[in-house]
Amino acid sequence: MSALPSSARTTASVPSAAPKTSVPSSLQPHALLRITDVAKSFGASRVLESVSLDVRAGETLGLIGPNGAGKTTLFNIVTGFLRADTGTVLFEGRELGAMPPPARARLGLVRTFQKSLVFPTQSIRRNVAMAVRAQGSGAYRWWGGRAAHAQADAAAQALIDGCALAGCGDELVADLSYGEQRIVDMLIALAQSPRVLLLDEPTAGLSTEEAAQLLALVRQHHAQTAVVLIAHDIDVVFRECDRIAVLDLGQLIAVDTPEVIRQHPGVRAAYLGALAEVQA
Amino acid sequence: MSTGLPAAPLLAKRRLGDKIALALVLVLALAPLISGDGFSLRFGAEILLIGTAVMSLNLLIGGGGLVSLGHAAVFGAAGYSAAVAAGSLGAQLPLMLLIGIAAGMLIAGIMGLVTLRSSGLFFLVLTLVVGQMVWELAFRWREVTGGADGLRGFPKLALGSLRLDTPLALYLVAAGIALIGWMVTRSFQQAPIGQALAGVRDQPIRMGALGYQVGRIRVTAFLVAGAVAGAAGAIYPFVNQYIGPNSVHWSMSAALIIMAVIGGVGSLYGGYLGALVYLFVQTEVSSYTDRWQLVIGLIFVATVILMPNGIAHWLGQRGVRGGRV
Repeated sequence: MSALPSSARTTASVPSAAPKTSVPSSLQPHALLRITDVAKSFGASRVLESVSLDVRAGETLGLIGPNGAGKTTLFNIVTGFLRADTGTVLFEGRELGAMPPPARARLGLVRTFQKSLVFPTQSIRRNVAMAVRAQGSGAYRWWGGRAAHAQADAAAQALIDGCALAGCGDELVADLSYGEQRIVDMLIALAQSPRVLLLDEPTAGLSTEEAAQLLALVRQHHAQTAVVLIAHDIDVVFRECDRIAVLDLGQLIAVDTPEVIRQHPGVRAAYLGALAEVQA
Repeated sequence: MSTGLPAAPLLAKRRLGDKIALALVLVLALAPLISGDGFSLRFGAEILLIGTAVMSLNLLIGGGGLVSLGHAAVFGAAGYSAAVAAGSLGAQLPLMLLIGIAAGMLIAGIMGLVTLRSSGLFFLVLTLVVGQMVWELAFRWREVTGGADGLRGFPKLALGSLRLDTPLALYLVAAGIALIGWMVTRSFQQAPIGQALAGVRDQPIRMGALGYQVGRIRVTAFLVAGAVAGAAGAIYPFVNQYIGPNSVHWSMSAALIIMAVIGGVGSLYGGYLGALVYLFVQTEVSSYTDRWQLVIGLIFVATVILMPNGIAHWLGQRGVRGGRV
């Protein structure tokens, strides 16, 4: 991603010097988020199998794989919506254990969902302000709400003014197009001051232009944030990400730079080859 | 940018809602001057108290998407508590309100905790079960509640040495509770906690991902709704000097929901309009036929078809379209 600090770029490029294709290479020093030996089953179906992965501050990590590979399940485990059967998730060296999703969100583990989960009956500004208030102490305030609203609205407006929806803060979200709702969805996530931003197919269903707007918005706020991006648009992943992790049938088969991943025989066999055939 | 409702009509609609509510308050305040007979005033007090209970239910349904089929238990438990306490402690207004609010919050709090992780049909059934447990208590604990006969003969409402048992005094007390209840509920809905409740209604999963404690928001809403319904319920037995198990029965909860739908889900003053329509039909039509519920049913169906968002929203839309804001 172009907005990456140079130091992060250097760090991200290290693995390409010595290509790593085995699972242990996914663990990096100074990880912001560390996932170790995470496994998850639903009944007899094993969805994740001993997955270990690190995410470093400032990097953009792509997470790709065929449908059912376990990508969203991994997001759900990291953000606390699911409990792993085994394994640990460490954020800034602290094990998250059974910490519920709201507490993880307040630490800075922020996510979006495959569907656009916006508040349709409220204005764009109120949507973003909802996320702003969640970060402060006034989220549950009853008395003195006017001041809390004003502060949150001002912060929300600043975010809105920096994107394609500038000047439309009063519009009802229900009246926006799908692409505009995805931008609101992203603004909500960015308003949470994320340390790690987990994006689950944010560009799905968007036109090329809308996808570009959305990714530009992420880039604007990327300097202090690590991004983990699930996307089926391979071009987007290879263009935007510093490293790419590939999941197949619940197993992490490779983590490396886009150049290495593109040539990786296991990845080509499991995902890229099949994708190329489909595209052909 | 797609075509959307500009901000002005939205704000206008909101202001119109306030104006209608203000007009309703003025009409209610002047009503004793128009019709001062005892029956009408007691009937007016009943509408105001039950309307307040419907408004508090509307906080849960409209504000939080929490359709409770046990809200009569909250309202009725407050009434029973006040009536029982009046027998031994006297029927002083502040004490009755305090006891009613505490009882309402207790039952609503239990309901909120029991239903913490449920939604949809399971939520509905759980609130029904808790409500029916309260009814069972009222119906079986004969020594305290009077069982099927209910409670009569408890002291009349008073404030110090001032007797509040006249129709006009009861009407004014009910109007005061309705007004304060409306202000409390409105301030809650407009505060960050009320916005968070609306967020839980629309996107509960996203709210968790934003860092909100969804359970805390829901229980708080239950407690506030319980306090408002409890205050109204505390005075309800003194209007006719009687409270019976029907006031906590699930069918009363269903009636409150019907009133909320007729008046307008999500509208605070809609609760009073719904209570007015329902109780008027109940009182007037039942003097001609036992089948007054058939008329209620027809009104309900007609409302859903012709005014799907209820009378209050219909009035609001007409006002905005007619440029009368």
